[in-house]
Amino acid sequence: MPQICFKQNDGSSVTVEANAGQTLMHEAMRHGIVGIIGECGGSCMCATCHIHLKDPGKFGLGGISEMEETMLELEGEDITADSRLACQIEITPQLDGLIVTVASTDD
Amino acid sequence: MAGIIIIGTGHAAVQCAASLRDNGSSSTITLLGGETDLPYHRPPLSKKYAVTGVPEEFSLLRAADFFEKNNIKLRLGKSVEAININQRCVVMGDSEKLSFDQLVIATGSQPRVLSIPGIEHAFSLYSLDDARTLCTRLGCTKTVAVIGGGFIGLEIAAAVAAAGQKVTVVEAAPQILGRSLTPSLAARVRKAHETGGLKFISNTAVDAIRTDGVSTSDGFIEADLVICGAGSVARSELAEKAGLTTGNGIHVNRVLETSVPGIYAIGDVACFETSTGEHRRYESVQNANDQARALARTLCGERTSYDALPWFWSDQGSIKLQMAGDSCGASKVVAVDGEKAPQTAAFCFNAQDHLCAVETINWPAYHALSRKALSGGRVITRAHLESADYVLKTALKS
Ligand SMILES: Cc1cc2nc3c(=O)[nH]c(=O)nc-3n(C[C@H](O)[C@H](O)[C@H](O)COP(=O)(O)OP(=O)(O)OC[C@H]3O[C@@H](n4cnc5c(N)ncnc54)[C@H](O)[C@@H]3O)c2cc1C
Ligand code: FES
Repeated sequence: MPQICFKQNDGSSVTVEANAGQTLMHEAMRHGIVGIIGECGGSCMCATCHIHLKDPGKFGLGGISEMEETMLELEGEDITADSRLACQIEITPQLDGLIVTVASTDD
Repeated sequence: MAGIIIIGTGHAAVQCAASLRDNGSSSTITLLGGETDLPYHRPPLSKKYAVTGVPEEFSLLRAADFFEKNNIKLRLGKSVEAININQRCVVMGDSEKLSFDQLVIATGSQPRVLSIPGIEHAFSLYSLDDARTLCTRLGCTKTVAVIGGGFIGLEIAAAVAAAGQKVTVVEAAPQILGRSLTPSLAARVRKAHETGGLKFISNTAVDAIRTDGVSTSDGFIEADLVICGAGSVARSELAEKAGLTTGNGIHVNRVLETSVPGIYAIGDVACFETSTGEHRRYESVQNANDQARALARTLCGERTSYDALPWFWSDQGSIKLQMAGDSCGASKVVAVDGEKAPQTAAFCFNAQDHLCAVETINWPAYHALSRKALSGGRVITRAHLESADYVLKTALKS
């Protein structure tokens, strides 16, 4: 099982054993990562699963879809070049060692 | 201090409890819910679980230990039977009484039960338990009839058809999705479903349900299983018995307070007053969450009117429907087709020719842009959109 490290807003880190085939959002929720809410259940509708990824290319992660990009733009806060929506990323064995930073939230 | 009691453990109830803590509330918070499963997402029920079965790790609203960590008392399998306004307490099925300082009613809605003979043979879908039952039954059927061409009915119909079963949708109105989608889009959705193999019988009322099918004004339709998707009704009985003002849900004002001070209602059950003084009741995840957030602020001392942009989605097989805004009072609709059918965006304008809603089929980027266009007090006129050839990105830039 790939190990994925989540950096939470308060500075703490949690490393989880993630299930391949699930989305990054689902696994973050299951492990209670603070700041990942997944309000729309992964339909790319809410952007409450906003994260920043380090070196996505190194882990074989493909490009971002137009839908994901527009939803990120809509959310509007703290968007950077490494912003992604965790519900749009499927976990594969290749993601072992991935570091995910949870985006800051306002409420 | 008796604290805050929230009735329900659905989307609205859980978000309200979470937002109360986010806003620094130190009150005792108790959630009382009739269901026994940990709070979960409802949308996957009709899109997936009813056909694939409920996985062991079904989609939770919050991690299992969230409630304990945040000092929120989650009491499952606790059905509230009565609200006593004078004593400011709720009474549960086992006669246990619990006092409150403030009460939040988030009891949601439930499938409408048609009053036709044989209705007991029909299945409906609201809870994880319903999905478990339905999935088991679908394991031994080949033909299915779905009564009602609304969102949930069509989602189940598409999922069941994709699994290889023969599905007929029977709709009483001339058009499917009649109450929720502009007619030109509804027609495109129907056509796409027909191409995908769904059969529709519209303008036809079901008179009776039997174990081998349904009899209609237009003849008998054979089916091993009948699923009823005839819309939902607000679960407002508790409030009504307690003497709160109700009528298509529990009536609440701009800050989501009922006719009794200190008692609030949010989510599917709430019929709220909009900024223009109309009354609306929405059944959507967005509405449940955003009302919960607004109310949590009010309960923490920052009186907040509910004023969020409505949005909704429905995944029906390969059809992704998304809506932003309220098309209810639209007086003109312009539908623009995308590259590959059924991709479409319908722009809805109010009497002043201002954009009031955008509905899309298989066009998620347009949906997101339309939410931007409709929020933040922006006014986009029909003339403006026309001059941009209905290309939203262009319209938003100029
Ligand atoms: C199959 C299905 C698919 C859906 N798909 C979508 C979708 O794709 N997109 C979307 O936006 N919305 C969708 N919805 C609608 C969405 O799920 C609802 O709008 C949302 O669940 C409303 O949240 P709520 O908290 O108001 O009510 P609910 O989630 O219905 O929760 C109410 C809770 O209160 C409990 N309760 C009721 N009465 C009592 C009582 N007396 N005592 C104790 N507990 C009580 C109930 O058991 C329930 O747990 C779907 C709904 C269903 C059923
Ligand atoms: S969970 Fe809603 S966009 Fe990812």
